[in-house]
Amino acid sequence: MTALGGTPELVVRDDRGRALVLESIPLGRGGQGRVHRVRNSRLAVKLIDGVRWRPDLADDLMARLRSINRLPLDGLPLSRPVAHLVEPHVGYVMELLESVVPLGELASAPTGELSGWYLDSGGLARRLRVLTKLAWVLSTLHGRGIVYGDLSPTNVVVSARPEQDHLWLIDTDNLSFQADAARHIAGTPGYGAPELASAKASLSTLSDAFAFAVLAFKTLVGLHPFRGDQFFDEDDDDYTRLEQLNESAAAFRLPWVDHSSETSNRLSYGIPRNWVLDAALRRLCRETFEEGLRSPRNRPGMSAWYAALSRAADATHACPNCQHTFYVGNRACPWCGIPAPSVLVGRVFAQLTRPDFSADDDRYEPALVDTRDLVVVEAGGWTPILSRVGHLAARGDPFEPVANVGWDGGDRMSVHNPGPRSFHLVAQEGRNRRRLMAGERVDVLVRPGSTTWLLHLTDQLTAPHRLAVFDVHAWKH
Amino acid sequence: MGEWGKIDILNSSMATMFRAFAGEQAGQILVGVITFGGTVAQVHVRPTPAADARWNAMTPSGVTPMDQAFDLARELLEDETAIPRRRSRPWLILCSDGHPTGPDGYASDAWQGALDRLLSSPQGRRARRLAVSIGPDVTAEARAVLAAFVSDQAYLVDAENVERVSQFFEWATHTVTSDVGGGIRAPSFDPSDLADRL
Repeated sequence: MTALGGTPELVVRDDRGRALVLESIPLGRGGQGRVHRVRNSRLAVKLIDGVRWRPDLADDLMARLRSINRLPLDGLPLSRPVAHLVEPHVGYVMELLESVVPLGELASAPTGELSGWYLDSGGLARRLRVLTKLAWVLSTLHGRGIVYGDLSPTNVVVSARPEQDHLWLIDTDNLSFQADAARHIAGTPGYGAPELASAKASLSTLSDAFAFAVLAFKTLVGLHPFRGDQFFDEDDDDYTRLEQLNESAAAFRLPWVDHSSETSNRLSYGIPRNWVLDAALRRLCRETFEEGLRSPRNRPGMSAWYAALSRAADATHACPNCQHTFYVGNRACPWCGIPAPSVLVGRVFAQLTRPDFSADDDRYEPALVDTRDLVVVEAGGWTPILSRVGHLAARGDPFEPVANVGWDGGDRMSVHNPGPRSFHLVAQEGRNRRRLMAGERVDVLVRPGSTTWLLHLTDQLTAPHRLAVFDVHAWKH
Repeated sequence: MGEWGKIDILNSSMATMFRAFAGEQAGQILVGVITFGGTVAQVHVRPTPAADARWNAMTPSGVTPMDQAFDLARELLEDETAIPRRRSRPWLILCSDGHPTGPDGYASDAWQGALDRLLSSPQGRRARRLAVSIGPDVTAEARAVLAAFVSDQAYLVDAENVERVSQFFEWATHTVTSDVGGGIRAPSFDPSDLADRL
């Protein structure tokens, strides 16, 4: 069949009797097939490679789809199969909720000027938010005993609009309980963990964590962590050498670009790593790509990535001059060099009490434990404090705001309570304390170096709760 | 299938905590582990400095004699050769799906008596208690077991947040006393702390 214009048109049929016209350019390409959007619809189709009908492939897929439908996946943004394809195609149909692009579009630096591309696709802050959400999805799957299987830049999709950061995992037919992950999948070259190349190891939460680490590095830096300058400086005509290099990088036989002692594969291109990877993220990369490279048990798991990425995402703010985002603590915007603006900084503590204290024990002692989470509010802006911030067990949606904090850039801080519970705003000095009911907003005075406000996210001050301590952070330039 | 999945979550949660403890700045942490996945509870890791401790994966079994684990924990806490009496309080972390059984594999409420004994012992009473809830199918009844164990509901941890457990060990170094009005003082703001994170 040929459409007007000569573009080949692919039509598939599903078991509900629908004829689905696929867009010719795939949304993504994974280890075993490719994903196409269905024209003029909110559906997408995963086509298993080799369009030729093979009953064994089709049966195998059907069995997997049935078992996926039995997995505990509630509350997670996964595009689950809603129908399967019929002869002569092997594959399935899934739903997409909005206009999306593969995460790879945020992760593949174009040649030439990078700053504009990075900013247009959301900059540092959005990349960190998207990766935080992805880390949460994988960490939650792992917490339920499920491995994802074949993580790559094409089977994670994100909102096409950079001002939104919704995310879905597509290509979900490899999901399985870790204990049942008997199928041998090498994963996508350059992402599949080294141990998967051997027939002895099967998919695990730590092979997922390895692919995630590569994807996180690539999303933040724009280039692959095992592809140093030699990949870009090579003479284009020397195909054999480049092919060998590509093969070595895909099999992780080269040192990663920031290896602590091996310097043969250094990288000077891409977004500078010290702009986009904070100390905690650099450490996780090093642990994954050095000790954890050949030894999965020495690799950080997804909960470590989730904690580090959420802290990083919350520690960014925008440059009023170039609109790029960067980490609080920088004295100047790394992108354009102007002195860093003042920001309102909230440090998040867990305020704990000991309900089990007794008379013959120590006296009652509320204590603050530093959760290392921050809330950064820009001048003239509002920042939500999300349910996940500082939490050990966020029931419900961890990305729901529990409070909104605004700052006018001068001496006014505003706090809004979106509900449903009331909470308390207390001045550290003096007697000023306010109770905020659901839906209420209050404005209070802040002054750099002199006023500290304590926002207790609870309606019961004596119960353990989270507390954000706000100070204005102004650099002396 | 569920049982097998749970042991993987348990092993990876333990490995994550071991890594995080070893990286903690708040003084040296001693880590000891009691397992109760077999027909009896046993010491899986003798109390060891966190930097030297390694997690060896547990193998699954269908029984959960939590009562024996509580009794063994009490004995271990009282054993000064294993855990020197020091100023800092011990932490007890219960990692479980919360379904205690007897050695025969049938549901048992013997854990309640053992928990009472643990919490009334001199060292057990000083301990702070956290629980990590393992697996997606924790029932309300199983959750109640974990809830009875923890010092407060705020210390019931989801597996995906297990990395954060280590932050609580800083408690000892971050204690802030209350003032007359019941208010508290936060450590003062130091901008160089922000630069240290870069």
